[in-house]
Amino acid sequence: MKTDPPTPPDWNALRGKLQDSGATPEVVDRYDEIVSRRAFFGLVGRGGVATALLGAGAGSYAALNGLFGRGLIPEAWAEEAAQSVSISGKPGMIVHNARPVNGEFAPHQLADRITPTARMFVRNNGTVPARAEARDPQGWKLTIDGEVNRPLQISLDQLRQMPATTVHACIECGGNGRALFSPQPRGNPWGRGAISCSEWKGVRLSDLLREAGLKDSAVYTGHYGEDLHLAGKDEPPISRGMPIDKAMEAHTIVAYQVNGEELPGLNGYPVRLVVPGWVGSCSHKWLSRIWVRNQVHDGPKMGGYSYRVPAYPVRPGEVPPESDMVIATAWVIKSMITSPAENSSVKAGNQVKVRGHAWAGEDQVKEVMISTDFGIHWVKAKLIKPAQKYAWYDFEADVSFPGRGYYEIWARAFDDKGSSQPVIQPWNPRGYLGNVVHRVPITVSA
Amino acid sequence: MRQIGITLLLSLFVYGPVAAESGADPRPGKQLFETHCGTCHSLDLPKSQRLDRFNWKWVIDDMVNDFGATWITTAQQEQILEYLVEAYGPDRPR
Repeated sequence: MKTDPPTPPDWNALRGKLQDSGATPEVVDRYDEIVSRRAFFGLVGRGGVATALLGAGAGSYAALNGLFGRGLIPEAWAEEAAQSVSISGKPGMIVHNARPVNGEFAPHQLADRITPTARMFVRNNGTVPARAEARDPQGWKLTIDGEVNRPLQISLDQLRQMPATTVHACIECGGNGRALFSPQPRGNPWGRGAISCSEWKGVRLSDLLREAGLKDSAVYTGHYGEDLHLAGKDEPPISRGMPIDKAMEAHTIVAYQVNGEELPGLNGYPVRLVVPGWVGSCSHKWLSRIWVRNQVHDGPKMGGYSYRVPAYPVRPGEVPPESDMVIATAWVIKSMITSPAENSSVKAGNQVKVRGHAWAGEDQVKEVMISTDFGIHWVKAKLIKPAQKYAWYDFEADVSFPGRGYYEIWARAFDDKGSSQPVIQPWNPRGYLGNVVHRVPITVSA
Repeated sequence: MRQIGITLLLSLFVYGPVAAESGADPRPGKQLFETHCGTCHSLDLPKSQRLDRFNWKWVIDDMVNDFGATWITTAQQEQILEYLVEAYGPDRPR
């Protein structure tokens, strides 16, 4: 990411160059039209164009698209937009992509038992809605319809007046760990930080669904949000869902607060789903509608290879036919070392406190083992069980190193079903549900 | 940065509307990639990938068929594919 702010465009000079270059009057007219609508962009130049592209999001982006046409939005503007708007409120985030915003934090930045809001990863599929950027709750409502007896429309005030619950739970992007697959699959190269374990406050989805009255035909949910398609298509950038049983689970909530405050724009303001333990794309942001279905939901990114894994193990690099892919649901046993940081240096003989988290989707963490010699010897870490089912466990262990050299600290978690983390990452075509053992490189001096 | 912005803007106005009507695009694959792919998303993501021909073709097909980049002609897709395979193949340094 560049740090120097770019120079704002000089609109008159641009117009002159345009004419000099032999542009048709039609094109010049179009240019004038765009420039005349600068007010719409806010302040011209840095931040202004940025706001047009990203900030005010939907409306202005669509307007730009309409005015320029396809393929006509200068990349320079996009870069400018990326710098000034996308990562506000997330200092230190490792940004994989600026438009749409996708970023994570390094494991050592995720040491807190309750992930601070500023360190919650961002995985967006479309543009941040104008409402979220402006933090404008006016007119927001949640629709629940489909296979229900009494379709609902609920305002934010009504939602806030319903009985609330607070859930301390992990939300983890289905692609977290993709960068550790070999060969590396296409997609955001998430390391280990596309996970948060924050405290969410909201209304149980089961309460809302009971209020609406589920019909016997209800088998699945379909989720819709206010974010818009990047290419301006008249369809949601993503619309995933979950089986009714998971929707009715007591920790599945419609959240309007995180860590005691309103949701950040990048993380779903004003309301999002929190579907703990399952791939993060179930936890729909900027939520506006839940369509109760009489079949498995078939919205964008439910089919094909999106958030789906082969029904059987495949050779690395092998892409099975679409018909052999199944929907990725709950996360699997996993752990992460948050201290020491990767590539730390320590002195031989000194005691080093190893700390981290472990979590297991729908299951329980049974133990975490630590190795400092590439898995030859293991010691059991002290495990601290969280109060709530879907929160991560904390672990700690004391280790020391006998002499100088290159070492690695490994953590390997085991669940109550007898599964553990693999030492080599099994492969799938899009790099989902990665849970390979975390290896933290350490340089030891004499 | 300003110069880049101006150059891009001008080239877009001059070439943009014409390209869709003819076959091969006179612009190099790199420029087609930056112009067309950069319309909807920033280029950080594709530039961070190191994919073989099969996967780059898969990505482009998905962008055109599922993600709305329908205005990119078959010839332009082919040119972009060649550029990506060359510049961002599996053995290119990161």
